[in-house]
Amino acid sequence: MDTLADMAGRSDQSFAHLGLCYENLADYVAGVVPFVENALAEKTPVMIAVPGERLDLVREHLGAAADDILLADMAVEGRNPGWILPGVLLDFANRHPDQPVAMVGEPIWPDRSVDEYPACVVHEALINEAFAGRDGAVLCPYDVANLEPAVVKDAHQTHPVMIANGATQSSAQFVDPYATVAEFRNPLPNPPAVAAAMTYRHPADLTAVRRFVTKEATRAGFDSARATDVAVAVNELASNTIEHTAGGGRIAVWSDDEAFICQVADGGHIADPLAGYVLPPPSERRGRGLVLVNRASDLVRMHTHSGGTTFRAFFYR
Amino acid sequence: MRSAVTLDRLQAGDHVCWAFDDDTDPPGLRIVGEADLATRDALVAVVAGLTEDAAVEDRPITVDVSELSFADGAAAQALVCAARSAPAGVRVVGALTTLARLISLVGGDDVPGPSIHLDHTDDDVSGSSPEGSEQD
Repeated sequence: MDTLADMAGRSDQSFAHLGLCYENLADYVAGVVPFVENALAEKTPVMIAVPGERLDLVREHLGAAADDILLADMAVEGRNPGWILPGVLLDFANRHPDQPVAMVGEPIWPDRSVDEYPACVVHEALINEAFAGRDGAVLCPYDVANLEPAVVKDAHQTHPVMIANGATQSSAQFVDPYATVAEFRNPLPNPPAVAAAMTYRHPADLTAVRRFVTKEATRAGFDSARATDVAVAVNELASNTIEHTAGGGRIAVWSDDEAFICQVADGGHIADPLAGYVLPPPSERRGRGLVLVNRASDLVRMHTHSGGTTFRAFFYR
Repeated sequence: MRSAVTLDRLQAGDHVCWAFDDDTDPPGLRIVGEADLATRDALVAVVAGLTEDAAVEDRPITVDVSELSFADGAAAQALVCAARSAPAGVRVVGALTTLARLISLVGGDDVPGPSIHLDHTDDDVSGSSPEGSEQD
C-alpha cells in the first residue's frame, strides 16, 4: 500500500484527497480499512466521519484498533455540508497541528436532498483548498451503486485521485476547485410570493432583524432554542451586510414541509470562496461570522457575484 | 450586587472602570443589554477595562452576562480574547446556551491555562434538541 505522501495527487502539495467508489460493503471495507490501518501503523491520527451504519461497519472490521480513532456520525455532525470542514475535518486536523492526519469523510449519500447536494459538492471542492499545503489525506467513499451517475461524475471533478475496483488513478476530470465552487453556487430561485420580508441598513436595525426572524420562526413552530439559532445566523449575515457593503440588505423568510428558510441578500461580493469554511486562528478577532452561520444552520446555500450576494439558510423542522 | 454596565448607554471611547473594591467579591461586573454590531464599540470599552484590571488581579474576574439578552460572535470573541490576558482567568456567569456555544466555537474552551470558565445557568433551552423545550 502506498504511503499517504505517495497518494498525493498533485506534486505541489503532500495532501491527498481521494475519492473511493464502492459498489458494495465488501468494497467499502476493502477501501477504508487498509487506509486506516496504514495510517495507524505510521502513528498518524485518524478520524472516520461517515454515516452511522457505515461507522458500525468499519468499527466492526477494525476491532480494537477503533479505540485509537475518532469516530463521528457524518449524518449528524456533518448534516450541514458547510459545517463539515470547520466543525469536523479541520477541527480534527487543527488538534494535530504538527502531524499528518488521515480522515475518512463521507459527505454524500443517496438521501441527500436536492437543496443539500450542491453544498456537498462545494464542500468536496473546497477540501482541496482548505488543506492545500497540509500533510495528510482525506478518503471520501462514494456509494456508486446507489448514487446517480451525475454524482459519481462530480466526484471525479472534485477529487484529484480516484480509487475504483482496487485501482488508484489520478482523475482526468478533476478541475480547478474554485471553478467547481462557482458552478455549484449557482443563482437561487426567487423566494415564494408568500415569504415575509423586511429590509435593514444600519446597526440599530439589527434588533428589529432578530425580532422579526424570531417571531417568524416561532410562528413556524420552532421552540425558543431553535428560534435563537435562526436569530444568531441571520444576525451574523445582516451584520456582514452593514459592515462590508455600502447599502442595506433584504431578508425573506418562509417555510416548507421540511424547513424554515431565511434568505439574506445584499449588494456585496464575497471574494474568498473559503469564507465560512475555515475558522481563523484564536487570536484573530474577525472572520467567524459565516462559520457561525454554518454552525447554527442545517444547510446554507449561497450565490455571490460582483453585483450582489444571496445567502439562504435552512433550519430543519 | 456587582455593578452593571448597560451597553446601549455607553459611547465609543468611554472608559469602563472595573474598580474592584473590597466589597465586591468575587471581583467583576455585570453586562446588560444586547451585544451586537450596534453596541460593539461599547463592548470593546468594557473589555478594555476588563483587560486592564485583570492584568493586576490575582483572582478570577467574574463577568455576569445573565442580563445580556443577545451576543453575537464578535462579542463572544472579545470576551475570549480578554480572558486570555487575565492571569487568573475569567469566569462567565449566567451565559445562555447560545453564548456558551459561541464562546466555545471561537476557541474559548481550547486555551491552556485558567482563561475562560463558564458557569452555565441554562435558562434557555439547550442546544437543538426539540424535546428539551420549556416555555419561556
